[in-house]
Amino acid sequence: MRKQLLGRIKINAEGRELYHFINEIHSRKIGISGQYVKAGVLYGEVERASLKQIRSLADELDIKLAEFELPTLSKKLLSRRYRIGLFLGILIVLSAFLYLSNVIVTIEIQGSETVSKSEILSALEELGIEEGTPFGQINYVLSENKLRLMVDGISWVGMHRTGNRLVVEVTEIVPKPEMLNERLPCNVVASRDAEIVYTSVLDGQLMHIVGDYVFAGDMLINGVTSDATGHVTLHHAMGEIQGIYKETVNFEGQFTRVRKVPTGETGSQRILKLFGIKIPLSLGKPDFEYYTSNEENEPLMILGKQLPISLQTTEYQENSRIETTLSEEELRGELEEKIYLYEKNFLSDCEILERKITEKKDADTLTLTVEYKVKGDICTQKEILVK
Amino acid sequence: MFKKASEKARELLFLESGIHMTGNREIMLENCRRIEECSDVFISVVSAGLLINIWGAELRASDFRTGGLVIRGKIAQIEFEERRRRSAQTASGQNKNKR
Repeated sequence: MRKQLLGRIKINAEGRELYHFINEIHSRKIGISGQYVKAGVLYGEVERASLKQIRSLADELDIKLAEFELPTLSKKLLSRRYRIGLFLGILIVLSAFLYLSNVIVTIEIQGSETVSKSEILSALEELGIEEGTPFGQINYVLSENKLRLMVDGISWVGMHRTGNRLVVEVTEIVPKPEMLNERLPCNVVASRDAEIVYTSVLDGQLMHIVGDYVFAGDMLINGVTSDATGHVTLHHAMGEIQGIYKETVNFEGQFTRVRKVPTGETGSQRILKLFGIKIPLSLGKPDFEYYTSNEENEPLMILGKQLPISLQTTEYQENSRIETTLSEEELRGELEEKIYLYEKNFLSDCEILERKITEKKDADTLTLTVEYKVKGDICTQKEILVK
Repeated sequence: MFKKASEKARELLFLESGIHMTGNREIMLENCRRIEECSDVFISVVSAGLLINIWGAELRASDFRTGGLVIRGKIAQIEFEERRRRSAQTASGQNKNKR
């Protein structure tokens, strides 16, 4: 290694004062290795730095000196000393190594199942921890505690460094099982005004029969029973009571509204993410007042392994805000779609017996009032408060 | 008396010729003053009053600026000659011839 760094020169020396020359080298303490004399010629190897002394000594003693530099690393570097690009490249590589060994290149999240990784990453970003943050700036204990408070559903967080990766280990909260108060004494009351059409009691005492008309809040199944001796028993009243009831819902829409309409102008922005450093490949984002954007991240993959190099492309589409006026048919169509969705979401458990739609039209609005006649469950539990 | 004192002084000041051998491949000589001869089969060195002759094959001497010498190669034989005694013997031989 020393030879490679300092450079070695092979010398051949001959002359009358050869042994004087050898001993002068020895006494002047000039390093020479592998020396031997053969046929009146001294062969040996010296360091490049000693060559000047050897030359002057050879001149003094009238020694004929021949020299040849061995191919070493220092010779190769010296011969390429004017190649600035090479040295600049080495410098850049070394700087990159130094930089990347001190900053976060990737953030790995372990143990999250219900909590999304993007939520944890955005919380970390708020704490100033992202790709490219120096490891020395991270206060691990404080960040762990803050992250636990910032993200719901996390009971424990551990952060540690592995090479140039930041590993965030997460333990999620195990949800408490829902308590079913099946033994709590309660009554069953009517949730709305209805005509009873079906009864089935599992526990408790039925208070109304089929054909009765009940109001909202009326007791349907009593959870308090007493026998002939006056002994009172509390029950968790259970059963199924169906009734026919009416329900009215209004759906309203405006004829004029402001809409975002694409103008057809598009633009894109590309960013190269290199080990956490964001290098823009295009000149800023397009200057649109209103726009919709779509961001795509394409990581570089090698043998199925994701590298910390990715290309982020953001597509922008310009919109203009224009006021449009809908026709009556268009607005009615929209409201009918809303009615369909309402029935699908809220009345799917019931049987719709009758549907009556009335229309009311103003200068700017159209209102559809739907009156439903529905057959469905009207039970709701009401706890008995015992002192 | 003087001889004993000078020997003791040389020992204390580390002026004796120190020799360290590694098999028959390497010899490290300390306090090497002069190289008398240095071929690939024979190396002769003056070291602290001794003339050390080394015989062998493919011998190479290396100097590491420490006043010592490292000899590598296939070492076959090492010979020591006390330089003062040799000069004394030579002188006595010359006297005999004169007679």
